[in-house]
Amino acid sequence: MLTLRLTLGAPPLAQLLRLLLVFASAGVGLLLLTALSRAVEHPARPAGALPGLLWCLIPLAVTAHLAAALAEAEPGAPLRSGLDAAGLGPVRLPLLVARTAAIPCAVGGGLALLITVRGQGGADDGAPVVRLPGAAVELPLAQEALPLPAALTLLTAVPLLAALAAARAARTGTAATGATPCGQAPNRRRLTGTAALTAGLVLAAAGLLLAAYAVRHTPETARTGTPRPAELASSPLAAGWLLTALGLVLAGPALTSLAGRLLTAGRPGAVRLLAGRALARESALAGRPLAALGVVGAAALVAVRARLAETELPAPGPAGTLAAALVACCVGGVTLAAMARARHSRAPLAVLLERLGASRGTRRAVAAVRVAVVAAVFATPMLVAGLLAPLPTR
Amino acid sequence: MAAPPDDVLWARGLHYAYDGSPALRGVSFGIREGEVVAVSGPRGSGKTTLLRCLSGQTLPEAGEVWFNSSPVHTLGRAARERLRLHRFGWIDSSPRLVGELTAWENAALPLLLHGTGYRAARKQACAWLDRLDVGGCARKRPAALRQAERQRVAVARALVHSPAVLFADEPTAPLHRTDRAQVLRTLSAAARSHGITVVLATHDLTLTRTARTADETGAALADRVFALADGRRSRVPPAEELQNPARPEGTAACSLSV
Repeated sequence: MLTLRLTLGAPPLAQLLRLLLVFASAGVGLLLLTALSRAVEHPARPAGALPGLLWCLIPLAVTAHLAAALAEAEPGAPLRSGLDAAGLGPVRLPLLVARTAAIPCAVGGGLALLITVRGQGGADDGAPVVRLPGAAVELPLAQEALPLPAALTLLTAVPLLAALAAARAARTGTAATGATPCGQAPNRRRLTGTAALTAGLVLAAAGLLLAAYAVRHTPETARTGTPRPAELASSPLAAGWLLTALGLVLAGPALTSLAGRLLTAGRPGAVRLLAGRALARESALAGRPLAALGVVGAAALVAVRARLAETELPAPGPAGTLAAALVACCVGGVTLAAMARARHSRAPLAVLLERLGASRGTRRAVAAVRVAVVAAVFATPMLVAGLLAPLPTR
Repeated sequence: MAAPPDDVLWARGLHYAYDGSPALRGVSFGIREGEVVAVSGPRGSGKTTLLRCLSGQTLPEAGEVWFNSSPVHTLGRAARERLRLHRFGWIDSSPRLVGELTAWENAALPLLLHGTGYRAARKQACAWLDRLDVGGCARKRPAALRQAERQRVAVARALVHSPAVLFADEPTAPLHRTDRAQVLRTLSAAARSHGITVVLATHDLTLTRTARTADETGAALADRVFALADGRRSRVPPAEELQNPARPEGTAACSLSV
């Protein structure tokens, strides 16, 4: 009942994230079932379905991140202290949070199952199977029955993973809020120094190089017509793109921190000083989600380039479109949650500036400088990666 | 109505309520230039609200506030912000330092907001930190300081732009007794040597006899005590109760060269 009440009484952002989590979980469930159906269709080559299953890991990871963002956003600080006073401390709170995150995911998984069995009256011979109406759903699902244990195993992976991610986020959140003198943001132990920046940029560059190599050295025999999406998914080209995305996301916090430090270089005035230091502090909170948003933007740019130019890139199938939309929406939700957290961590500063009598213009200037720098910092790698990412040309 | 000629800040008939629960019920207040006045009273007696009304952070529902013969209660929001930034200083019961700025940057924040140059602001802020015995912490972040040091950085921030009036809202609330006496004495000595008018809110003046007599509450350092109770002015404690040579044990050493 407590879970239900907390769910119903949550603020709009948490409700939005929860709704997103339901749909993300349903989408991941459908993608997993698609991979399973491919394996069922080709029982002779079960390894053929492995790349598809592995690609499902990306939406799965993003969904887990969304669950973690929900766990960080949802029991807000006042509610958290109230729950702590009532006996739901740092040990039991993660259990509660895991439950509140697993329920939307389970609902989403059920939704996916419902979509796949719709139109079929169930197994005729009473065997534990799920029948898939391939015509009704546009996903490349198998016409024949899926084994129910396998489908259920795949579908329970999503709520389980989300619950684990949420519990971990809630545990680190309670640990961090315990020791925050003078309104400091919880500092996570993350690589935010030059090491992370170098590693991320090297990874991104290596990814771009790998993709370029893959484009140039594709064997002539493979250049017969447009490759199928499944072939592209297991090619080094896709691996290169993935490596670039990973590098950019890893470099995100360090990039934000570096931009903040550069902003306060020289002899800064109040606006530059406050904006730069705030950026450096919030890099641990918002760096990765913003970088992920930049990667989504770069991917969109690549898609537009592929559509405009004459390339051998196949049109994304329904599964690819679903996965892309899912990842983009989840990254948007995670970024929104991170922005809300960063804004919340800036609240003491806003109170102080009002006490001191800083004018509204100054406060707006600080916010504007911060937004402009963040936009510049993440638009540049987005444009570079989006425009430089090699495409297979005809 | 004209202001009394010798009062730098005065208020008449202040009324204020938070969502219907009254905080101030007809308080009148006046303070002369260079005077140190302790506003005393238990928690919930309206001290903070009075200070907020006097400093222009909140507008009273009824009543007037005048500063240097000009009305504060009729000013717009921007003008009141300017007044706070240039003429008033504020110390809270918690230091409220910006965690990502160093101690001297925190202390120099009002100057930087004025538009003072970086070097001049740093010089002035470091001078004030030295006077308040926290010059060694100038390059540290607030997280690396002790609470008493943080509160002294907050005092330096309130004094750095030489305000006409300093509002201190229970500045010693989070401190131990030795640190309380030290912070209060440095604060009052600095204010007196620079001719700054101080409105000091303290809550423990009337609670215990030791607190009443010791200088850790700030009342002994004040020229006058303005007692509040339930949003109204109450009987001022007799002067002889405020004067007592007894000192708390283990008063921390501090320099009064401010």
